[in-house]
Amino acid sequence: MASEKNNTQIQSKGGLIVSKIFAVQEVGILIPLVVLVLFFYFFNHGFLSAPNIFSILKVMAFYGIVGVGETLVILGGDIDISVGSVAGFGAVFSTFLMMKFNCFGLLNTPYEWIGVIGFMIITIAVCSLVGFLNAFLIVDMKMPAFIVTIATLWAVRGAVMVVTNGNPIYPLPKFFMDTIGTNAQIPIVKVGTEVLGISLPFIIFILLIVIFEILLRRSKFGRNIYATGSNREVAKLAGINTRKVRYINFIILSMLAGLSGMLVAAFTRQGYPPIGDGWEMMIIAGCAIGGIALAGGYGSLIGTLIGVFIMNIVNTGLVMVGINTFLQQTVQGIIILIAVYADIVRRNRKVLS
Amino acid sequence: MADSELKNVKTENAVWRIIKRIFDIQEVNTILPVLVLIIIAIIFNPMFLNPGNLVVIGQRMSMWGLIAIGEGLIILTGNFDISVGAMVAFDCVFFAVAAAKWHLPMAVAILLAILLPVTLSTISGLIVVKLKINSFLATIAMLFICRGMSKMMTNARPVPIAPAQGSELFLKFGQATPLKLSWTFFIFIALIIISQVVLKKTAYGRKLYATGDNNNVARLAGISPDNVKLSTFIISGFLVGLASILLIGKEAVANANFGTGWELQAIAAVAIGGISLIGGAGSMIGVLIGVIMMQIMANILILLQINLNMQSVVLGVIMILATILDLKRRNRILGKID
Repeated sequence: MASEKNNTQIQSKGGLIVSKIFAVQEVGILIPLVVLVLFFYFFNHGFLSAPNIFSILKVMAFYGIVGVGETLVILGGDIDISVGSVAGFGAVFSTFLMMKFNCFGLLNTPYEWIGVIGFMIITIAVCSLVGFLNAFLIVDMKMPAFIVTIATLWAVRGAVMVVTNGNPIYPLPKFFMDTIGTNAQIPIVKVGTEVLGISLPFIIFILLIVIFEILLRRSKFGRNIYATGSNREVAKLAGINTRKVRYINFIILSMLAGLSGMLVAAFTRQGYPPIGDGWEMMIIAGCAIGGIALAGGYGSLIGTLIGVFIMNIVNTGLVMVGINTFLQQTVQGIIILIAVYADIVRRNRKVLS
Repeated sequence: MADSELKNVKTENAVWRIIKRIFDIQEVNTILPVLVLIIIAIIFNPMFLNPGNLVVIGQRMSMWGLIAIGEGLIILTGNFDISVGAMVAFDCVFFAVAAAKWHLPMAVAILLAILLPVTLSTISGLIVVKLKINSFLATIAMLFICRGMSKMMTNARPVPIAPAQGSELFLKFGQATPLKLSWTFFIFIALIIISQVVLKKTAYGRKLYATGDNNNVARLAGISPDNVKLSTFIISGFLVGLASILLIGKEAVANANFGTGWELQAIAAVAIGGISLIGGAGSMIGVLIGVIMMQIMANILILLQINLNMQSVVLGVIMILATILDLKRRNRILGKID
């Protein structure tokens, strides 16, 4: 008798935990993720094969690294659509410098890595200037974020095309292509002669997610971002330096975009000028799917992780299921619309409850 | 003697006042950079004044200028539509396929080619107005959808319209050169004049300004901002249809990458022409000047043999400058807000 009572208690406790888990927003986004994976697996069993899984993980990391920065900017109540161009700029600028200056004259020597790392740091610094410019125009000149970042989107992409004439930059230093690119991975499985593993971009991506998620939840830096995004005036009155918060967000984002562009260049073994074309929409859609309120102030990086994952699964899955390649763009557009609409419904429900 | 002197001073003052008033008109301020550009062009390459070159400028600008009119109306009410270029591509492809592959009569194909972008644009408008989705996100989704559809329908190959019945007459119209220009040019100018009159002289025009300036105040004044915004999307859709038909008439083939970058050109032209990118101010004459300026700029870049990609750098810089000027102008009128 007593044990029965105990049992029901445990059961209800279990039920409580389950319902609590489902109340966490990120779990809600996991459901479409699982459904999509099963859907694509059903049509093409190759979808869950090791090479495909690892390639999805690698590709999503490039978007994801930028997605972390974009999440910060959106949480702070702004938006930045120049990220794709900045990534392209990072890819081309770093490789251009490396080859122009022969890695400080160390090209093809054992000390090549000094030049490669040096120019990567210089590139990230220059990319941060783009973020600074965006922040200056948006925060201090009080211009709409959309207009400013469309303008920098064109200007930066145009500059990249002018400098390179649209031609890719290659060959690149061996250290850059191999040690940072293809070889940098934690081997997991061996398929045929190919060793598959977790690549460097994915490690960086996960590290960024962990670091910034902790910062967002546990530090003053994070709380200031949420406060700024949910109500800037109130945050100001509460003594938060919203100007500084927004500046830092934009600068972090541009640095991450530049980094991601360089990683793509390392993996594709060339500084290809169109790198990053159209990323902004993939990334913003990923954030929106992941539950980041586009008006700012609400969401988490775990959501971004899942959102970016979903976008990439759809991209790869559509190819594997055999849908006309040209139709993919259309499907992406529809997904963006659904994601943004879901965001609005969610926000309304939150306000009502 | 004294009398005539006084009269002299008076006329001088009057002349000065007139000049001042002329400069107070916003559009004049935007004409000055155009004149400067033209002088620069003539100095660097006298070929610029060649009648052939001027005709090319006139023909080129009128095609995407039609899009800029609709974009101007949308921006006037505080929204954006960046799907217009992709919509032109989709519509051109649809038109060519309907006429050449489905063998529809020309008149029906033209009607469908007008209806399609109107429908798409109305959907964008409804999404923006009813679902309250940011117009930028809504129309970028539409951009993806339209580009994808146009590529799918053509398999990325050009579709000639020639086998369709009645296409000869259609192409004759599209490729005609009245006064050495094209019909598109005259349609463009006529529409600019009509829309300018509508903006400045009708109740509808004032509703547009009111909605763009302050949504809530407009609502309190008994205007339905939602309907006004939706109407600008519908008009823009119609103009997209018109431009697509005229474009096919000129090119005789439909290509999935038609209209690439038109939305950016149109937005930049609208911004240069003094329509506030935040909504609520500007005129169609300004748009005309912006369109002319953009086309002259593109022409100069070609004449000076500068890398065409430079254009997008210049575009970005111009857009930021135009918005800064616009904010300055507003602050001067309204007094400093912050």
